[in-house]
Amino acid sequence: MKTSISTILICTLILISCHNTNSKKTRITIGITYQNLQNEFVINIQDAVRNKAKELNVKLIEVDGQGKAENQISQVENFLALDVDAIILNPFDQYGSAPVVSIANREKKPIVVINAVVVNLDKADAYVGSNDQEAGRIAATYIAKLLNGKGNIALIRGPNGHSAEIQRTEGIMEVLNTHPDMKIIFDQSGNWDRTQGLELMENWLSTGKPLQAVIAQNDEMALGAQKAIEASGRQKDILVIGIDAIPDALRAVKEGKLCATVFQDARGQGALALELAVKLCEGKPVEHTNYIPFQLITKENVGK
Amino acid sequence: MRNQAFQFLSRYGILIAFMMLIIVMSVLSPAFLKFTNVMNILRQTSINGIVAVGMTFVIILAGIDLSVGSVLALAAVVAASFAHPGEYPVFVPILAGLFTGSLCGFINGLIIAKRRIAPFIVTLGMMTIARGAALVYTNGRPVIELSDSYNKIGGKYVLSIPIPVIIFIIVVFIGSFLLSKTVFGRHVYATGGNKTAAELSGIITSRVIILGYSIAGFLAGLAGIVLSSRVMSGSPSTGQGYELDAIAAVVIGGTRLTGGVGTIFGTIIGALIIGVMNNGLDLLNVSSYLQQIVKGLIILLAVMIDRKK
Repeated sequence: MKTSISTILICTLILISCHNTNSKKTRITIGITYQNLQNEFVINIQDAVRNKAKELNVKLIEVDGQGKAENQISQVENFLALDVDAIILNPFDQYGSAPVVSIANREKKPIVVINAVVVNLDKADAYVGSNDQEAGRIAATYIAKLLNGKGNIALIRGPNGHSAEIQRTEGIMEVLNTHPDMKIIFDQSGNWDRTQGLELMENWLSTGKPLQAVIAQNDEMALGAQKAIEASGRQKDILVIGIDAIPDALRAVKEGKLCATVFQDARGQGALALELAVKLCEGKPVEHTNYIPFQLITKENVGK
Repeated sequence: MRNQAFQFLSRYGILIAFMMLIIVMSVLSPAFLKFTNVMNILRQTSINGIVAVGMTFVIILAGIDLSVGSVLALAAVVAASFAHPGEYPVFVPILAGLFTGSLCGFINGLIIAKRRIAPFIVTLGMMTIARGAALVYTNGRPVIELSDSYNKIGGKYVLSIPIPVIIFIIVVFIGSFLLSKTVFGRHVYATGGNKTAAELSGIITSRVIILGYSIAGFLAGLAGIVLSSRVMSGSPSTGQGYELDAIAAVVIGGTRLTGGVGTIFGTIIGALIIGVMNNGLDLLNVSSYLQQIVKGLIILLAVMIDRKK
């Protein structure tokens, strides 16, 4: 009995100390739910959102969906209880996270979708992101150029069903379909994970099939695959390209270990999303679709 | 005669299942039995294998450790943070990682033995705490730019055998020795089989339990070091679901979840079955949707052959 009372007491204290006692209603309050804060790319978005919020004197309520759409839905319901002025959604799942937009519409709260898409995107007030098909197209086009349109390709995808996986695959296929001499001989998901990229590549290499290039749908998996290729001594024969331009990948491009990566501007997306949310709160008009372009990073332009 | 056949099956069933899997894979893929591929399988199995050896102790003790994947990640980021080039000699990150893992295991064991709370709950708590600690420690970002000497642990070979495999083999030998040849090992079986009886016969079960969980934590830490050096970065999100792979290896290997029965040898075969499956299905380029079904079926089949009595 004694212990349970003290446990409750401690829990209450923890909750109170976590609670932010800043409750002046003069500032704009914006609630944002991130798809998964265990992902470096999403953390970069978060950095930019925070900086912009400080700059514009906006109160920010941040929550982490932890890779589950159902978390994002309950989090946005909590936002309504906290009476936020606008909502920013960084959806994990294009179907599962869609109800968030419906909830915002129902409660007449402005909603900005960032980075990934949802199926009812047209119902949102604004979208900031990059067209993932374009990232796939850029990567595949560069590989096709380096291989003169001929060769065997291994494709390492993101998690099956993730919107970036679907769209990047579409972009890659669109380009490869125009090059009949480029064939995908291996195709598997590496779940954005470096270890999985490494192990897939080790296994593929041991089949001994001739391979000219690896297209990985993010840099972590590309770096894993590159490590396996380097260990097998075939680094000169097999090109590896990634997407996202994380610091480790930029270094690998500089050292010639990755032939290129595709830069997605996480910070640009984060800053613009917060700006648009503030404009919507102030009743100003905004563009619905705001694309931030991708950019190919090779050894030539990596420093810039 | 019939009886003998059954005895043979129940003792060596899992080995027979493993041999069958190897024969099928080598028929389906000519690359399967090549030396480099066998080394791939062993290297890819070593991480899960190291964790599973620790899990064997815990499960023989009639417990479970759900925290090993998170503890692995925490040890990986702590070790990696001491492994930047030119800062410390390579034994510092290794000791830091091993200490982190052991400490988590020790805390698990202490709470389970002294407060008598179900291991499932205690290690579930540690699972989220260690994951959270890894994220806090790194701000959610992977620890990169590790020294060459640290990266050698996961990347280099001795006599053309990958170092992770050598570490795995050493862990297996020490683990089997501890379980089958020492007083501590006998106490593990006795405590897991019947705790009250063990206490009546004079065994200090709390000490055995604390040591058992500390071993599991120590080995999770070791696996974290090997993994981070293999991918040359310590990621706080690594190792998710590894507890399930380790438990699967232990259970496929014939260790009873009710405690008191099991061997390291069985666990190794269990880990190898999982490793061979992952490798073989990749070689055959089986779609990743189908892979999950096939893996589940093979695990069930292996256990069914083993338990046929």
